[in-house]
Amino acid sequence: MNALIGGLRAAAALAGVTVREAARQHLWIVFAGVALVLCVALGNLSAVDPSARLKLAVVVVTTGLGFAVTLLAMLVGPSQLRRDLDARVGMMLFSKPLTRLAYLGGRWFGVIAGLAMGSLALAAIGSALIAWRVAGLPEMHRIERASSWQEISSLGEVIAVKEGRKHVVLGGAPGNAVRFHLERLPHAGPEGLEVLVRVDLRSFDPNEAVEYAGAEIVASASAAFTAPTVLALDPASPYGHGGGDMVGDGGSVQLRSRDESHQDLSQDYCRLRLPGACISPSGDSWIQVVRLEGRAGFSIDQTGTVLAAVPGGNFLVNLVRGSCVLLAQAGLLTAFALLIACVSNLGVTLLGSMTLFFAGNALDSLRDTLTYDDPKAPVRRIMGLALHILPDFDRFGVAAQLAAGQSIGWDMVAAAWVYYGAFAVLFLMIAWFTLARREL
Amino acid sequence: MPDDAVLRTVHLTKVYADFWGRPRVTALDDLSLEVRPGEVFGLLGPNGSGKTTTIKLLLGLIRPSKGDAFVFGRDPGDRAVKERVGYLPEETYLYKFLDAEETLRFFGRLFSLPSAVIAKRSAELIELVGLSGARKRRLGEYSKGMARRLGLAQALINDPSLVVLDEPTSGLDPIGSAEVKDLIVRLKSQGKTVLLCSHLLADVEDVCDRIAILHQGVLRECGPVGELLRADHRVTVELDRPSPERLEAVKNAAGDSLIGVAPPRERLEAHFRRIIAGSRAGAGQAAGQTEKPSAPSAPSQPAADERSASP
Repeated sequence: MNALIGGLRAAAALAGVTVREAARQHLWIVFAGVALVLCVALGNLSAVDPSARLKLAVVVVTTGLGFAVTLLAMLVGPSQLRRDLDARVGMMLFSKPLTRLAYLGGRWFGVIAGLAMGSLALAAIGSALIAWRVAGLPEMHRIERASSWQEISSLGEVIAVKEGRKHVVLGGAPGNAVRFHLERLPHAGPEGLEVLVRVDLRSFDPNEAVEYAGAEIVASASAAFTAPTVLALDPASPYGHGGGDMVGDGGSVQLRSRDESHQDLSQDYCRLRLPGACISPSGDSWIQVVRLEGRAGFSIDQTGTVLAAVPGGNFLVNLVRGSCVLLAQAGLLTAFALLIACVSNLGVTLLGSMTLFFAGNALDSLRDTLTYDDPKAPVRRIMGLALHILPDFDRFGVAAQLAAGQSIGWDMVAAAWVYYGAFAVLFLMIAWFTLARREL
Repeated sequence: MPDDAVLRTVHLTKVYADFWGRPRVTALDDLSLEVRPGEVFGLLGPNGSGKTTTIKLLLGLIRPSKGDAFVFGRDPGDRAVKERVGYLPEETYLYKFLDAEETLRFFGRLFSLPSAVIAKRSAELIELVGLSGARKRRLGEYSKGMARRLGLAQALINDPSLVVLDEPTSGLDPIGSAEVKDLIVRLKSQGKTVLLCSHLLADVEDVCDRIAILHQGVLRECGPVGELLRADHRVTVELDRPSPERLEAVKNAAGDSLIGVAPPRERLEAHFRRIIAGSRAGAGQAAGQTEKPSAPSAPSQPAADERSASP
């Protein structure tokens, strides 16, 4: 136990020195440089409308943050480790009660602590710059998705959707519907919550594209769906009032065709108000999308068609949580770079780390190649292996999610740390094994 | 193993191998020796004789190819062992972006010492090594000698029972060298064990109780300094201001066995220290004794060279 506490203290001492060295070598200038670039770039953004400009600004800030964190993650720890080994500082250090594991842990933790401080500052600066140069910060929402769904026929019969099915296409006579069950909704008072609806429209006439189709969105607080309430359109909804010559009337809304690639909560979804009376005390609500026109089919998916949008905190808080996800990636890269630095020089370390980073960002392309192309068997095997062993740096799309106005929750941060942390631990263990065998 | 020796090596051998594991050079060959508590032990030898390799083995920085090394009866890599050892390497490898206080605080924290203890010891050690005026300066601005002094301070931050000093006077001026030797004597008087590694024979002769001489990785000689250097067939007779007649009488009495007659010479180091001390005293008086010199005050114990010069 004493050895463990001593090891942790020694690691903490080394982490402190790591941060101090980075600060005194003016490595924070990378963050300052990125802030300067953001300041210039955000003032010169051009987009089709203010909303698109805001979205672009969020992507620029998040990308700048990711760049600074990634660059320093590959640079700081390995350069210090190489110096310790090459300049024989390691002899001095390891003659003290400092184990090689505590050394690696201290260096790794120091880098992450330094990056956390820098990214926190840059997130604050980035938010301020968006508010200043783009006039306003995006509204953030946490998304609650349906836990189950049922198909309702035109005659009102309830048809269970086969398990594992992800899409349902409503066709035939109008009046059929899909009913979604949302659980654990917060109690938002009488004003209720916002509900977002998005449907991919399918034309039955191959010569005619359908852009809009009428629908009715109703909700109830009971599973029996008694006394359903027709949901009113939010005045701030980007569409739904009508499109072209089609105008919604009564309780109907005009849904614009939006497939799964459209994720922007402020632009791609029809926004409606779910009254508090439609949410049961236990937080359950049933929402039904009724097809009103026979000229188009509705392609509906369980997790993307109906969403409950809960206010997700302000943008800065979400950007900070996004930084935590980026830090998890940085943790992986730092661990990998430390591993390479244990066996090779700084140039090779940077090259290796960048290779891992770019390869980890190209996994989607790799999947597409495997799915749509037909590579030869050995290539297919190598690509398959790469998909299994390489960390996916695109797994948590922080920039896309923030730009879409979706909040980033602590659950996503935790998931990112578990995923990237597992790789980081593996790399640190290999680095420890390598460093422990190294004679000074 | 039951062991009252502070350091013990048993057939210790180190062979450096190439990438493929093929033996390249034998740095240390079958070294067996022990260092007892409270002893100042000198490890002598020319460059490449295996001194630093021995130290690295004793600190657990490298692994022996054959044989064993024990420090306080345990494996040198043991955490409990490392907590009791202070080490000053041949070159001072310290972080240049830290100042003296930060450096000592960092090394103190590696030993898990409480903050208050670190602060107290740091202040004492900085004073001891004569860096009070430079405690807030970054090490990048230090001269080699100053860095060496700080290296010595970090070796003592944990109040070690065993101090391993590899060429401790390297890079120091004669005053600094003498102060280091004084410090070694003081450490011995406090009951600490010192392993001193040097190729400056005069330094070793002045302070060591026992020495081992290594050459090409092999132990050539080991024993107490007095015994190894004693020339039993010779006798030195010193006279205080002898008259010419008395000197002649002594010469006559010695007869054919007389080798030579000459006035004894003061050692250059003692002479140098006396001149500098006199100069400092003069400068202090001229300045009205308002400023404290940056170098440490003379230790209360007799200087090492004075002791060794006495009969």
